[in-house]
Amino acid sequence: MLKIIDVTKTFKKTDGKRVLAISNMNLQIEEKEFVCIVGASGCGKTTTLRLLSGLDIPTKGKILVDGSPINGPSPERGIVFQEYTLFPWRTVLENVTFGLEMKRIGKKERRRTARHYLELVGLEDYAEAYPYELSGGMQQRVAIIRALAANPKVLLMDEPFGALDARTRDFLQNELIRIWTSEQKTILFVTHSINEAIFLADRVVVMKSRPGRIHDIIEIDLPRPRYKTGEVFKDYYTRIHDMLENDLDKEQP
Amino acid sequence: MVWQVLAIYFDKPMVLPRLEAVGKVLAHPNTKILITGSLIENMGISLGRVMCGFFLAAAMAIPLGILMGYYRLAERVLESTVESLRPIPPLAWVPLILSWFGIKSLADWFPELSSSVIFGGVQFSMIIIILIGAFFPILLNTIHGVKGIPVIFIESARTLGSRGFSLLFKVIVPASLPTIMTGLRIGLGIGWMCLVAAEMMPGSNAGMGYLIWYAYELLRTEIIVAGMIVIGLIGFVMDRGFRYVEKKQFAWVSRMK
Repeated sequence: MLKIIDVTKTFKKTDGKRVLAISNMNLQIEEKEFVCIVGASGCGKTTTLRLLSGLDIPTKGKILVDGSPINGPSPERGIVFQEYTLFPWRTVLENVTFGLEMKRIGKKERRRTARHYLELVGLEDYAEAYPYELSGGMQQRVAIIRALAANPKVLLMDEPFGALDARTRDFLQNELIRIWTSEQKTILFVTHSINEAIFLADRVVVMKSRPGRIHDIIEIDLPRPRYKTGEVFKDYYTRIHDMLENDLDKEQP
Repeated sequence: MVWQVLAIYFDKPMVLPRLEAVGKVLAHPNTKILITGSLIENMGISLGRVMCGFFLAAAMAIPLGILMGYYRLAERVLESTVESLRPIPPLAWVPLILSWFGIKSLADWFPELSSSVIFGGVQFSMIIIILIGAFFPILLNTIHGVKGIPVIFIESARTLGSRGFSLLFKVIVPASLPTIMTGLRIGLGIGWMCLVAAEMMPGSNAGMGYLIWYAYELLRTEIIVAGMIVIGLIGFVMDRGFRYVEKKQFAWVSRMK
């Protein structure tokens, strides 16, 4: 359903020089698939996500969603960032209803949908709270359901758990798998944590830097729920880890 | 205390009025003072003027500030104009504005207002001076507020389907509102000071500034001091009012990480 075809993206730096962020990328993501992108910083994984969201436009190549090219940001492709992006002037409930408001859905229905999603992540008691009253993990759960409430086909996630402590992170990874199973969404998840990628994904896309490109795509053939201490899990880890190790070596000047 | 002791010692009410004389003026706000009307009337006239000018300034500066804060092109085009006009003190505009508009008041255009004490005395030139005084703080704070919105808020909103007016009214305005409020508070304060000063200029015939200037010409220092106290109190109350709203409505600002 998502097709990245021969996509190249260059950025202009402030000194006028052009930087090649992504070179000749091809990737296809199926419906209801959970795909993770891992790679060192600067490998273009966030850029890939921004291109898919429509916030940035490819320099060359095209991106198709269900066969049609994307044209700017759309609630069909919801995004969750690493930074806390809940609107601080709105209550939790009003944050979740934001996307529905944009679709001009009636107030009653908006609130009903929002309450449903708040229950999904166990935050129904915080509907009237403001984001600053919530912990980081809670804020990210709200950010996820804010994107989900707009009923997207694809959920794009840019290291959404990167700023959280390890335990909260583990908890939210399980939550996300649960949500993904019940909501039947396609998810593209960017992370620099190999463990996180293996735990979550059907397929892990390993990216390398200079220029950003796909190095390999690895299918994770493990039944869920997965255990990070399992033998096969560790094999996957070593494999991906070795690929990225080389990339880091090359980065040294 | 010191004031009162000195006042009694020198016994020159024209230089240093006794506190009870000042108190007497303040205690009878409805009594006609000199020929200018009562304290309350003059307060009303001044407040009416400042509100007219202030709302006009806000109505112009906020949209312009949002435009300049959001679109770099608009900022580049308008910045030099704004920056070249801003250093001119509002009072320096008085002679020019008086020569353009004279002492015409709102009542000349809207005769039905002439019976109103407050709005009957709202002179056009006064409004312009308040407008100039209040305009720049509101404008600069609005620009600052809009520019300070984290890009990620706008991007999040856009990926949730927000664009155009909904982006403006549901994201840009609420996100920059706390800073705009600060601009409004400062703008109102400056507008008030400009007004009182403008009312002391030739061509004025009512208002708090006029009252104390007129009292000076008659050497009624107790009225001057009473007038100054009222002017200060009004400014203080307006400022506190704004601060109260800021604290109540924008609790999220101080808690933002």
